Amino acid sequence: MIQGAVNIALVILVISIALSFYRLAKGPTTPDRIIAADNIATNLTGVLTLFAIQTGEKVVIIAVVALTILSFVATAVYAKFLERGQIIE
Amino acid sequence: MSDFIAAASLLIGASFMLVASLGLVRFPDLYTRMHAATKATTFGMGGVLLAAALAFGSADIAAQSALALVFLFLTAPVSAHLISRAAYRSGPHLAPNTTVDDYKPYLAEQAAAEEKEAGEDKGGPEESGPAHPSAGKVP
Repeated sequence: MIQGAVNIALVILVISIALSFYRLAKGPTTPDRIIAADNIATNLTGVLTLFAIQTGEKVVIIAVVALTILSFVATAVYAKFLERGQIIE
Repeated sequence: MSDFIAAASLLIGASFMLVASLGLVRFPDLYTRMHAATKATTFGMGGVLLAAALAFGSADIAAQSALALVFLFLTAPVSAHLISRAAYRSGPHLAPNTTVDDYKPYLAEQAAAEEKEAGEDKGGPEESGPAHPSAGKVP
């Protein structure tokens, strides 16, 4: 039962990534694109978790933590760049 | 039994993330899009990570997925706040049917207080420079 649910959830998450790509392409302002990229990264962590459930590999779950932290750092740095014009002053 | 709970939680979490991306496409404004993208996605990821912890059934996977959830809950609101503040300062981009804007009088107050202080101190180096020239411009 869990494997069937994993397949359905994978399809749902891929559709969700495609919708975020639409906002990434269209977004009239730059912060729109930042939010879309962050959303794609978080959906990708969901796909990684589903991959871990499907194959039974236990080592993939720690990559979820690393990807969350990395995407947050990227978003924070870009916000600083938007506000000040340079990252380290 | 735990298999069934894991499957249900997985489907609920995935559908929340789908609704979040749908909101990202359909909402009229930058700030409302940020609401959808951060809150609903974080909750959906909670469901997916709970399903992973239940499906594996071992304590170390449960600890790692709990760690991932804690990091997600800590970082998503902070990044949303940073982006919305940076986006507001480089031109508000509010939707046309916005009725309440509480940040503009606060910013005006800050600017007035800063000018008064600069006048009293006889001017030091400018604290906050202008935003980057390409920030928020329609491409």
